[in-house]
Amino acid sequence: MEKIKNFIKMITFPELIKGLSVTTKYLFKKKVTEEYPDFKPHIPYRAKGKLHVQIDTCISCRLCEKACPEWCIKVFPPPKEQMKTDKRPQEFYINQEHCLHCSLCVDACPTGSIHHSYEFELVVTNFKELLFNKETLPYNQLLKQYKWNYIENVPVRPRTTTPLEQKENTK
Amino acid sequence: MVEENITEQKNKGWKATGEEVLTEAVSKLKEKFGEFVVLCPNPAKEATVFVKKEKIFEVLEYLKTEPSLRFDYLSDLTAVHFPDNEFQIVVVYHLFSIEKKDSLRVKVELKEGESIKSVVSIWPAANWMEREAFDLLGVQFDGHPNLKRILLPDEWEGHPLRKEYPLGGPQENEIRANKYGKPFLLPEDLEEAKKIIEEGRNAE
Amino acid sequence: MQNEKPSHLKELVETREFELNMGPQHPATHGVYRAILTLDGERIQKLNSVVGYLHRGIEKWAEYRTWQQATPIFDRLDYLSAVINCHGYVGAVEKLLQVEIPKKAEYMRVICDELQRIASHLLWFGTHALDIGAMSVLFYGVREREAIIDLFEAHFGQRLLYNAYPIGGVRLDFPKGWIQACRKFLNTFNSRIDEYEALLTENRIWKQRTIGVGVISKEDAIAYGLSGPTLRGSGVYFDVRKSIPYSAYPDFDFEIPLGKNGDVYDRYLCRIREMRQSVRIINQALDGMPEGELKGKVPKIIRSPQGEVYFTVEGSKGQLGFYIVSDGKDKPFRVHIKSPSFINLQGLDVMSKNQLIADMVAIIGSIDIVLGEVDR
Repeated sequence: MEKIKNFIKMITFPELIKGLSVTTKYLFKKKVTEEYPDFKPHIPYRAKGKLHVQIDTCISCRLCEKACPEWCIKVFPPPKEQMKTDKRPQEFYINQEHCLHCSLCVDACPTGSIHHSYEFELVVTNFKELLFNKETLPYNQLLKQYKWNYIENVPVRPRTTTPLEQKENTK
Repeated sequence: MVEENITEQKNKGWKATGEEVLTEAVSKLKEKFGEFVVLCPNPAKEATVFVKKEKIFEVLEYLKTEPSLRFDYLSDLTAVHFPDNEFQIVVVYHLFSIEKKDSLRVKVELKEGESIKSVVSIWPAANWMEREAFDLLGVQFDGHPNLKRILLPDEWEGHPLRKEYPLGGPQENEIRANKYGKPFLLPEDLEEAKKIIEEGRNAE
Repeated sequence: MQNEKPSHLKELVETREFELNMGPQHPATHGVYRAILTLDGERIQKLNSVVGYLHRGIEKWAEYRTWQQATPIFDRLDYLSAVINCHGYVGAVEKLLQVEIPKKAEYMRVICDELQRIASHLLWFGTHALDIGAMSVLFYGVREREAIIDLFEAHFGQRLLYNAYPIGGVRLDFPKGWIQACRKFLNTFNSRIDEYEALLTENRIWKQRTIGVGVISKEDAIAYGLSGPTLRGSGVYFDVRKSIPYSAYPDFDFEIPLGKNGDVYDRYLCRIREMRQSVRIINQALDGMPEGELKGKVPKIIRSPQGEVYFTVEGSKGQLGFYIVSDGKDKPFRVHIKSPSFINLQGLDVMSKNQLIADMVAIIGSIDIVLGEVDR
């Protein structure tokens, strides 16, 4: 009996038919492939794109500079006399070429000024274009493009990890 | 003798904190080898022993073959470099017994230039691990079948995981001297930074 | 032989060993791995592995960073299971600092780890089948993996290298609707595995290519220090989740699938069954998810006690261990990584003895190496 069963199995290829049925089932289903440049991907709320700094709230404490494992952030604090009244940095540099998108600087920032943007395309022709200062940060470019009219529509990353925000939430 | 060495190590800065852990394996070792085995404290309560270099092969062979212990699985073998100590290299064996689910760490101290007997004949798994320790830290293993560099190219000079070896390699200082050649493209002063930004814009 | 004067005919039929170079740019080695094969006809007599083309000096790199700064680099070891690598390092530091991690954070870690294990196995599953010649399987494997990556993107914000955990717990809670999405995925996933098995498990071509190929015995597997599914395929009961329990794994009920013969087919079955077990674990963790804190008490500037620690996790490839020596400063004194792929690759010499060259590709695929982890 066993031999006959095996013989029938050998000549009828049941396992191949089973496998092919799976393949044919998907022949008539909808494709799941999305072709990227034509199809803009859905970006989730927590996505980590290029780093962005809100210069207005930055207090030049340089904690992000110390937290960065690749040393790709550089802050130039204002002169000492100015520091008492206006703490905004004189200049702020981010080197996206070396950024790991690890968000350790986001965790370290006490005011939540530094955060990831939703801009993720980093393809450039010259690597020096990847050094950003406070005028060329991702959202600043976006804002200029929209001529400052659509500030509310620009997505801003949540600052849930920073202590200040947590304090605000508890109040 | 061994205890003296360890106290010396303690005096020279690096000292393990925590408590000494006495498991069945440790007490058996202590019984059999006496003064050649010294307990070592550990902050995470892991059983750790120092073994004198002369007896290390016998101790490891005993640990593997003794039927009540049976450390048949060599989980890890590595070495650490302490540049300030008299005993510069510490070779570390992590043993595990699949049957008894027991683990043990055995450590040996070596002076600069000393070699240690290879354990490939006990655990074949040690083959590549010893090659790696030789490659990155320069530990010599006697009786190893094929002691060559494994992760680095054969013609490489120096052993990178030793503490005197600079992070950027032997040419690190030359790279640093180069203006933009510093491994991270970040300007030190404002003038320089503005120049780079300009160049980036012009490239567009 | 040289002293003898061979006749013309003898010279023609003389056989000698032949050396064949495979790699470093070979599509079936999944990276830059070079094997020098010594052949007798079609059979492999000896195999010499040459690794190190991807050596980046991660261990040295970590010595120059603070405890927290060093976390993102370990994602780059085995870039297909970044979450588990991060868990290994972070767990080692927590063990050294004696930090208590909240229960909720442990459960979240287990969920992410197991999802990552499924994702890693799925990619292995696709590429392994592709190496042997089953083309369509890759597309199904990658499709399911995409769903997991989307889940991770919603939680961690990135798709491949997440820097998943800070020292002491987890960063953020799961986003809104994430648990429902995860459950939805798990409900469909078991039936999807059935589909995969319909394609391969009983397929006679698959069986002929894998059964009896690349056999390694139980004793050899232990002696050569193999771990993970490669070891369990030989029938050795060793899984870090059961043998040296860590995190919240003792809370869950799951089995460790074992093979019998230690051939390529058994390792394949082990991984397929492991995916089902991972689904079981995640379901239990989602059901029993406790409420509470996300992060234990860790100072902002971490200074560890002097000493050393060895912490192992069950990575998707095997036992992933971190040996950390601290001299009491804010930076690790020495970090050593026991990488499962590196040790498993050692067993390739034994597995490929007297095998055909054509089966070499199947054997390399079955031990599931990632060269980023081999070379570090």
